[in-house]
Amino acid sequence: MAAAAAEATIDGGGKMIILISADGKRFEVTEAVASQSQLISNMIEDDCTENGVRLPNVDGDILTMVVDYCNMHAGDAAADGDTTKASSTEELKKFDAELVQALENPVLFKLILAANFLNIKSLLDMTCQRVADMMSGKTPEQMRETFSIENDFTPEEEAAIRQENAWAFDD
Amino acid sequence: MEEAPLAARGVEVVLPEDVLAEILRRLPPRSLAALRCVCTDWRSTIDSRRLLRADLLPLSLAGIFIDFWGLRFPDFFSRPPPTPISGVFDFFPLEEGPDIMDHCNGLFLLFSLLVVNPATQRWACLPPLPSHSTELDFRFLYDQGLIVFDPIVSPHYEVFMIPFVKPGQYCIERTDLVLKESEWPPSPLILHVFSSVAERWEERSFVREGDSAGTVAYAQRQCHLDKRGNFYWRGALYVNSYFLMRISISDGSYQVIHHPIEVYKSRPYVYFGKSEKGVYLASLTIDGRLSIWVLDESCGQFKWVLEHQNNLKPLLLRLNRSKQVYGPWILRDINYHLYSQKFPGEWDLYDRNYDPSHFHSPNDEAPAENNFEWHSDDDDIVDNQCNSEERNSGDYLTFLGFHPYKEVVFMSSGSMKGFAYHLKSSKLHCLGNLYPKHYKHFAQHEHIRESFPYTPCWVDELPETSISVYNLCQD
Repeated sequence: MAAAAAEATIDGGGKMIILISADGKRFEVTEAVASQSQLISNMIEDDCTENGVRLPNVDGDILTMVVDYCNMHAGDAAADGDTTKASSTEELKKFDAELVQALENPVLFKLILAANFLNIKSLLDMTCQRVADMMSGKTPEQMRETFSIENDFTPEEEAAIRQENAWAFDD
Repeated sequence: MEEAPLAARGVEVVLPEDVLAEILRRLPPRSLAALRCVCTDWRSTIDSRRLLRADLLPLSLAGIFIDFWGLRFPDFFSRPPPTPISGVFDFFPLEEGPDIMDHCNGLFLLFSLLVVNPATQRWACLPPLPSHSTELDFRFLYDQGLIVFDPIVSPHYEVFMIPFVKPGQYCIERTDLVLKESEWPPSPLILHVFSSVAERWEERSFVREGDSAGTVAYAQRQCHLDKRGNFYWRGALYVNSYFLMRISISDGSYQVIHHPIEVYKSRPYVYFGKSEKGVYLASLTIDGRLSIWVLDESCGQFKWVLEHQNNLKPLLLRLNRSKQVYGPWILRDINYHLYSQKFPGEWDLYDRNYDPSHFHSPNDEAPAENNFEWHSDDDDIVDNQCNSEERNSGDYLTFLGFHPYKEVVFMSSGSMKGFAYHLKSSKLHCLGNLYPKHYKHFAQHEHIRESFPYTPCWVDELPETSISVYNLCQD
């Protein structure tokens, strides 16, 4: 998939950059695609992408998703108005929805961490929203179950915290 | 800033605190309140970043907006001082007065289809209502808008247009025999709904569960009855007609709930509202007999449970015999102040011989400062006397509304004083004088058209704007 992604962008012109995941997988992408990551965009400006960009805390399978996402969204970011490669808004929405809906823990959290580390705002927004949607409307017990969290309150403490926001709990 | 190293413990992947905060920032207050109970780390993230701002939510009663007949602006009756809430509906452009159609958790819907938040001074203008695509005949119907807003769950709002049968001029019984016998309300009931998410009107269909309230002809005979006190509570709209219509928003259904049969014994004044235990019905007869029912919605059945009965007349007369002009609450006299300061020369006086220069009298200062949030137990019924040499034994009470969070009914008297009646203690407290300054010169009839207990909200998604009526008047 990485190879296909790289190929698809070669004829878009522009300089290519190699991204290297924690487990050594290599992804070749255009500067336009890569610079959706603010981190890499800064590195391009500083001219330190010559020998490939090592991303020691992003696994190959997560980086594959990030690269797919950036390829799809390269059109948004292209400042020069080259929209031939840009996907239509509906296609993008569909792609984003399918990507996010399919995600569960821990892959979702790993993707959030990657988006946070690479500083890709739109991907971070989208994935954070997905987690927020998973949390919304749940009781504290359901939330602990969903996110495998241990309750470190005593029953008395928990009751007191509930009481502080009694308006939020229907009886 | 120091970051807690872990936030979500126990999961394979640990999110740093700033990422967790980025997620929590997107959640409504109700979810955040639940999240605070999950574990200590989540609670400290929420608290240290002040993500849950209960102080901005409409959780306390600030006072009552009162729409007086013949006055241009709604006035505000509350404890002094007049708080950070502006309370004045003068920050948006309007040709006529801002007539309030409905209020829900701090947002007002006006008849001119403006949605207004007096606390944030923001407003939005809804697009024009599209015409109905149904076969309903609008010669015999009119729409009334209800606003649904619950910032504890979502920052968005919705407006529902509810059809009512018109009284009189188009007589269904004689002119339209098919319509006469058709059932009211119809099923499905098609409503126009504006959603602030979609930013447009759409039609939504509601199917009736159970029986109708009768025929259209019957509805027309009943429509002289008072229809005040519509509200939203926990996912449902409660619409006051000669029956209570409960519209369940999420599942597209509605039910007809008949009033308790005893209500009709003596043609009382009937009022609905939400309060401490949910849905309340109050009836008050002209001679002061008050009855309060609470709607029991458990077990999927609707049943009115009689909660309280008392004769308020003796209590009212006893209070009227005491004398003192100011109570703990005051009317802000918004019309008086606006006319004398912002719209001089634009008097719309009923009494044309009256000299408006009298409006600038020197003794118009508000009484001294006091704690704004009203504490129900502070007001002593014996010491807290109200004025009145005049109008005594003939005095009567009408409803201003229910306190949204305590079992208190607000009422006004024929002699224009405000009262709070406490269901738990059966005590009637005088809140103060609510007669607007110079009212008799403004209007031929002195009475209260509508009143809305107001719970201010400082969060909304209304657009920011700086245009005000005042600015427009300058142009």
